[in-house]
Amino acid sequence: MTVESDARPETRPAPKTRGFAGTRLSSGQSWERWILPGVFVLTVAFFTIARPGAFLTVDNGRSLLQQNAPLLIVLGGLCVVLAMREFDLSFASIAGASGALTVQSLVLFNATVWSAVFYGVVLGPLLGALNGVLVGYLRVPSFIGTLATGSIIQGIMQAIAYQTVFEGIPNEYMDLTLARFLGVPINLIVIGLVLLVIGAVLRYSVFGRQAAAIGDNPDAARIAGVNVRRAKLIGFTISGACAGVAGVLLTSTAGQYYPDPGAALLLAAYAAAFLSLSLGRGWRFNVGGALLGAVFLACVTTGVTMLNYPSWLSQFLQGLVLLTAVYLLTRRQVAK
Amino acid sequence: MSRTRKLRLVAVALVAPLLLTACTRAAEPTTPAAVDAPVAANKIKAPAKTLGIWQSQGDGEGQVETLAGIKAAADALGWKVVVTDSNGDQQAMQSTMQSLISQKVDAILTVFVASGLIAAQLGQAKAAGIPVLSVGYQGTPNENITAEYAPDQAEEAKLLLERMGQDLGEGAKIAPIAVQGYYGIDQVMAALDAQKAQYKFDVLQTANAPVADIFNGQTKAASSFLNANPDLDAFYAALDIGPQAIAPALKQTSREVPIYSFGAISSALESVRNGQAIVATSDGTVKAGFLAVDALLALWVNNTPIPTTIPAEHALTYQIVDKTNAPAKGASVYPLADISKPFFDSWTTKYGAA
Repeated sequence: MTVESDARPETRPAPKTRGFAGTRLSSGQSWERWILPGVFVLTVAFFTIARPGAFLTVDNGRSLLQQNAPLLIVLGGLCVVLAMREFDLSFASIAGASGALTVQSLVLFNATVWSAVFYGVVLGPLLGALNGVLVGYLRVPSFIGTLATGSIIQGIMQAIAYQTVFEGIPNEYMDLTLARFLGVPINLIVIGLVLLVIGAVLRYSVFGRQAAAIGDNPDAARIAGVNVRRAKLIGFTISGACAGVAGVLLTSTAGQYYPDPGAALLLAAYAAAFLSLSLGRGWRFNVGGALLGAVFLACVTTGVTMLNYPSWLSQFLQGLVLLTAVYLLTRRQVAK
Repeated sequence: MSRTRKLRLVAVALVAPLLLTACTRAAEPTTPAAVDAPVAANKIKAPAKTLGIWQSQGDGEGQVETLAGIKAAADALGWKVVVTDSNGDQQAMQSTMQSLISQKVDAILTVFVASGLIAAQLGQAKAAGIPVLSVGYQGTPNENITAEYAPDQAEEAKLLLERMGQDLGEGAKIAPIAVQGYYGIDQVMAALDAQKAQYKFDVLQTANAPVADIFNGQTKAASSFLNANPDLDAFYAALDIGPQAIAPALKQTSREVPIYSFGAISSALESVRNGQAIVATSDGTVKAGFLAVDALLALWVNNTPIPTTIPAEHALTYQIVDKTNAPAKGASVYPLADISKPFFDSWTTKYGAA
């Protein structure tokens, strides 16, 4: 799925081809756009040849997606926020709080699995909406605003779950991430559908066009009649909702609550989201590219482990890929 | 209604459920996996003191057990305890240590200390005459740490490797999973490296989970190992949360590969009881707090110097726990009551009741 966040027609003149950075393969596309998919294919090919019968298998693919399911779902929400050129630094804390609330509801309040999941998931959009109010209505800069709310949420999460080991989680909760339909984990199907919807909304809906317009120039968007505040509220609420689902997935996969379960999502999600830029038409965050970026980064980690290479190599390679992608895109922008 | 008022109402509506949840939690009884209670003790005659507790990451299960031991011992003596928790934040590790020194506590007990991160503060504590005792977990050696009372992880590793040798036989393919940067973990990895030839183990490259993704990182590494090695014989998990982190990978891949790990924390015992994990453990995680308090009490009452290591008469015990000797659900391998009683009896005899 490669769905871009900008449905707005390109009004700028086409970039002139000039040397390396502006080389065009076809109308509206430069060769840099194919860097990420190209490197992804090469990487998969390398690991497949190096570990035949182990890397490119259904089981490994399923494991890889299962382990990264929480990351994939938060990417959907993050792309909405980033499309508006805003930051959300609180979604990892929201995921942790949702996971904590869900497990706490199950163990301490003896809630049924579905009602506990409901509480956890609903907490996400509520906290996301709080971010939306702060950024959209109170005009708090999103970078510092969500950093602050993330810290507050983390504090509350610790108040809920601090120094607590949750045992006695029913098997039905853990089965949420194990149940399959035609061999495909149901949670992956649901995540795929959610991301498809978010991607389509960003690309084809009025909201998606508004988000792109806000991302380009919020003042111009406001003058053009876009309700910027409402759009930001919706964007952060979607981001929070995705984080809420991620929190449930994290704790269901683990079969328990552990301290700060969402902590690792933050940097990984931003790395994947920025990799998506190489699939967009010039600095456009898009769901498809972000998914490809996330899977690519996960492939590197998995491949390095499978090849019996030291762990530091995967982080080194991931950083190198991200840096290269952003550097080439910067060159492209400068050329334009 | 004005816009400002509307916004206030929205904010209150959003925050209220969270506060309600938090407050409800506070009113709840201790969670099912909480540490068991110490034996009831009469107050023991002791000078009034304040202990500062420095924790690098207080919400780990093992750390909770260690803290429970410290609190039980201090409570019996009527000592005040100031507990800090850095939540894994390196900046906070320094500031919490600094705050304990500023408060002029009488002694500082560190739980799971990475000495290098707080080297300057350890120096300040020594200069201020505040003894610092590392308890529960082996920390990176530092000359400004007065004493360390913690299980010897190399000893645990030796025990576990012996068991692996018996269970797995020669040529067994082992997948090690660890986290870098902790002295105790380095000890168990070094033990594996040193003894793998003795048991003729085929040890794969160690997968180090990122500290920021310590749980899922282990799960992901385990999945990769399982998918890449259909003939994998065992996991060697250096962290006490290893069994619980690897279990989801086994479930997802429908494989049955035994996990050899360290520390009989409550959630790991779940895996031990169902035969998935075998752990090497020691009574030192809980006993360390009593040993530290015992040493401080002797210092402050009798002016006895603090022993830098665990005295022979209090030597720690080590054992392997598997499904045949695992305690029932809710019970500990080393109940706090069993550990606390000899200390309370000894203190009452030596120092008298308050």
